[in-house]
Amino acid sequence: MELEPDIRLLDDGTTVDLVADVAITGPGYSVVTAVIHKNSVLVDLNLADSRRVTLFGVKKLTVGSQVWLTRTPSTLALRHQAKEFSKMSTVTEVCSGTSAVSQGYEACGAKMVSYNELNPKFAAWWKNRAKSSLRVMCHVRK
Amino acid sequence: MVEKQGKIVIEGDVSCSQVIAQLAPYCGNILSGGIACQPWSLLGDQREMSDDRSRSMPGMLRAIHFLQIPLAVMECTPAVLQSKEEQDILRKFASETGMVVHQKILSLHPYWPSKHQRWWATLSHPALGTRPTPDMPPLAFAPSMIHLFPFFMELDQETLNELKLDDQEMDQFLSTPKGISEHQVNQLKPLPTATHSWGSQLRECLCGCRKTGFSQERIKRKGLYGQLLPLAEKCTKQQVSIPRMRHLHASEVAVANGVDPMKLGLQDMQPRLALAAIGQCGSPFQSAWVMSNAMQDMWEAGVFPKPTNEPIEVMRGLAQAIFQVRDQLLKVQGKSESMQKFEETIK
Repeated sequence: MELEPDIRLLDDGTTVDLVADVAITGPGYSVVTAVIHKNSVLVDLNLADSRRVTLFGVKKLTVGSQVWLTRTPSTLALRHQAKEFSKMSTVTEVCSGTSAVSQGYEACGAKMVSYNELNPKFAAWWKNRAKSSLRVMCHVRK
Repeated sequence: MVEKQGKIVIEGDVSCSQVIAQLAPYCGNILSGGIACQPWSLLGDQREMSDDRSRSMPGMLRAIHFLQIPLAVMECTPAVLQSKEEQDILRKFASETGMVVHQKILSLHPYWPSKHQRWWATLSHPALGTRPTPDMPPLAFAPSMIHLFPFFMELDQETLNELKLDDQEMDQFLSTPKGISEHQVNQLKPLPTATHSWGSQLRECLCGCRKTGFSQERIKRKGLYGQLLPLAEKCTKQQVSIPRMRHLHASEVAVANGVDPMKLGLQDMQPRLALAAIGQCGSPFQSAWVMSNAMQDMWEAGVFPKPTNEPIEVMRGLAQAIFQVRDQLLKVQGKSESMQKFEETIK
């Protein structure tokens, strides 16, 4: 399993997700350093208000000797803030099924805030009980 | 309950970046996940990472990384601890992210009468100071089903019809090497580990994962599993009149695993779908033990508010709540000596 690919080794046009630290920002661009492979690249996004960011769905493009990550229609920049002490006990459960384990977490004083489930039967059951639900369509990667 | 609290439910595959991105605005600071256990389960084909369902584990690790989660809790079958592939993935994850990984096999039956042994892992930012999860505290004696269930639920006719074994199921359970009695709930032992396929090994699984029952070849190879209770109704098999059996109700399995079935809403599900749902659940006793110990460690490290209760107090509180639910479900009038002994020992 690879958390993130090494950007330098990717072909141009490949779409990638990565976590990066923001080093320099300029008008309409930023210089970021990938936290795992430590490559510094340019991104065509202004990330002036961020220290660390997750970039979903950016495309590699080599221009001269510079590696760029360019935005696509599906690009999302998730800006990370420091975690707040008082909100440390909020829990999200993935692959939740009907989420029996959350009963144990709540008994500790944790607060369940969101759930994710793949199975449509169990997800439908959740949706009937929840105020809000979001369906995300995506292809299963083989 | 869920709707009043305005919780968000996202349907989709956590190994998919779109789902992770969708989770981001609604994500807590702790991520928990019961990753798919079928790829490693002894009752499955043990194809590990070649099983498509195994992607939930790397999917969850990617979610932890992309969402920059400071504390995550994972749960699966104990076989994960022996899987070289899984252990390599966890080692690589720890080395690339700097997260601290602790793994533990927790057994439920020294504390509660169900053989529910699971692999648990905490993955945390080093500043949180989480330590390895200790063993769950054993009681002075190992409780068996009689301590929790002196008798079982009285079901309405509709539910009973759903859970009653049909003729094909009766024949198949009768033809197992040790006969049908081997599958009858033994109140002098803890309940065997519940599985997702209890109630569906010989027919379609209502969750949609299988359109038909397991093949005869597979049943011969892996065996037939389920926990049955005899009914007053009789049926004739090989010219002998024998009691017809029913599967355990999902609420009975839930209570035996420390789950409050009312909070879960199992009563609103089709009985065999509810049985499949509870058969794949982790136990709240184990999740509470892992989480309360992690909270205690984080508080001691100065990065978490003081937890309301010590881990053992959390366990006692959960047990008291389950005793009350059990009393409601069984309409308990007076408590047997074994029930009293169990409750007093927990206290």
